[in-house]
Amino acid sequence: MFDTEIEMSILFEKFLKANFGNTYLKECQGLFGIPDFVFYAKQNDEVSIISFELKLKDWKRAAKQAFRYKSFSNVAYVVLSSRNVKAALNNIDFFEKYNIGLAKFGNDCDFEILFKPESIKPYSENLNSKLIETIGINRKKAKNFELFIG
Amino acid sequence: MKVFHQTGHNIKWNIDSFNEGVGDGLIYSPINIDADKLLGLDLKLKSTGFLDPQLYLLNQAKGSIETYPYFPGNLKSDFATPDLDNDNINLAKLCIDYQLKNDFKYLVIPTKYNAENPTNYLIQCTDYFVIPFCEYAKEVNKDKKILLSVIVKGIMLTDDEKRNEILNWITGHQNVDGVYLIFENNFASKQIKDFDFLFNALRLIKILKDNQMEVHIGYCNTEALLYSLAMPDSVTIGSYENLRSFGIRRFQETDNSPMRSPNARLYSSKLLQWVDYGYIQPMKTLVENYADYFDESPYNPLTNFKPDYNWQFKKTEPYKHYFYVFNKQIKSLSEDQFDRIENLKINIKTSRNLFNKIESSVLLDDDSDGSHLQHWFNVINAFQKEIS
Repeated sequence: MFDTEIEMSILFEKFLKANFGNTYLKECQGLFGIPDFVFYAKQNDEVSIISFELKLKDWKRAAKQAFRYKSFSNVAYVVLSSRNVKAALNNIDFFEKYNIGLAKFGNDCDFEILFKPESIKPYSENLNSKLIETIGINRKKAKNFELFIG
Repeated sequence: MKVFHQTGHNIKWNIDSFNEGVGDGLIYSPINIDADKLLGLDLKLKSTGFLDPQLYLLNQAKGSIETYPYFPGNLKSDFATPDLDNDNINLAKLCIDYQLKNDFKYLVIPTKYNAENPTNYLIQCTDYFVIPFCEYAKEVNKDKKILLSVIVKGIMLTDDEKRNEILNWITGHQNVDGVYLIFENNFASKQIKDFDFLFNALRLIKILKDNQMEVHIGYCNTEALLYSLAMPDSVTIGSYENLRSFGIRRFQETDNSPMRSPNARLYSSKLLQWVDYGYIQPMKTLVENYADYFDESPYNPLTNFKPDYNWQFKKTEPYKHYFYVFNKQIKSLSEDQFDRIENLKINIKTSRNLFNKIESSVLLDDDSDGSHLQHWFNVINAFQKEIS
């Protein structure tokens, strides 16, 4: 299992790249909180944003951070190390209540979604526009992103 | 109970606010305003306030403090604590003369900061500051009251022996009329959530009041409401976080490390909390009548400015809003201690209910939620029991 969040983050990045494409930003600043990863998918004129907060443990703190990301994202996920996911699972209704995604991730790149949230309109139009501006006219294609959206 | 503006960077905001009738006076900060500029300010602005002499670190030339005649570096370039053995009288004269020239309401005896709490600290403070200041003040001043600056460290509150020691020391000076009390705040959270700290702060204030001392509490955040229950003479309002929480870093010359800008926050007297503006948008979407959770004021960005108002911690409106709202909140407190206590308990209960409503859909972080309120409530109950 992961010893540090950096270790977890490095592997998660590889996992994202391999399965969903290069359409992501890492530790994007200047928004509301700093998500570990912001994954984006462009379809016609629409950009879907999925943010991820990675944590070895402390699901509640992660959920509070993930909630902030809904200001600029359509979906926000807490990704916990597989070893420490039990406490969060026992509180799955908390994730449902606030419509925050929950997933577990292990060092074999085993990723499982435990609660898939509904896509929402980001709370802050300003922050969402700012993020889309940062993404710019990137032509990279995302794949399989529907997997994250309920 | 009076409300003083704890000034610092952007004193203009405080002056504007004071001129609009908010607050009872200003506490001036030498590291942020040149000595001559302060001398040139309207006497009406100064006769209601006082100087925070800021000799906390003696010879650290932070900001504009070196423009002050009593700055130790102006007496001797490498001035150090032992130099106070010989220069204490001179320093006291220069400091008092400067304060008298400004015609402040009070004369304030400075204090020195110590990271540790050495055993001879209070003796040194007496020798270096209290005795020479009181003696010179007796010579040149007939009517102004004298306040003693005291930095209260956490350990002085929570350790019975140390608390008694500081209380005995403060109350042991015949010519001192009151105290400019500064609670050092080393907490990581934006609100103080420590029962022992808050409860003992109330006890300390009460004992000082029982000893007929004027008690002016500096560097207050919203816990000023809690302190008010011990019936001090004044509390403060301040703009930036470092004016609502005392930390020595603000006075260190070498503190040029890049500071991460905090997010702008909006104070709510109904929630007894500063809410990160980032939560305003989710509240707008998810909470019915979200604007009702905040107060009306000429500065409230929610009701007075365009929807695309640029929230930034450096902008004046959220602070002027706080000055306006918090001053009003303090002024509405009952003069009767028991009513004041009961009313604050009711307010806390109401705030907690409002937080429950918000958090049924908006997940707030620990610095915007109501988690400090349960601690406040426990402190009030303990204090109420003790004084009953």
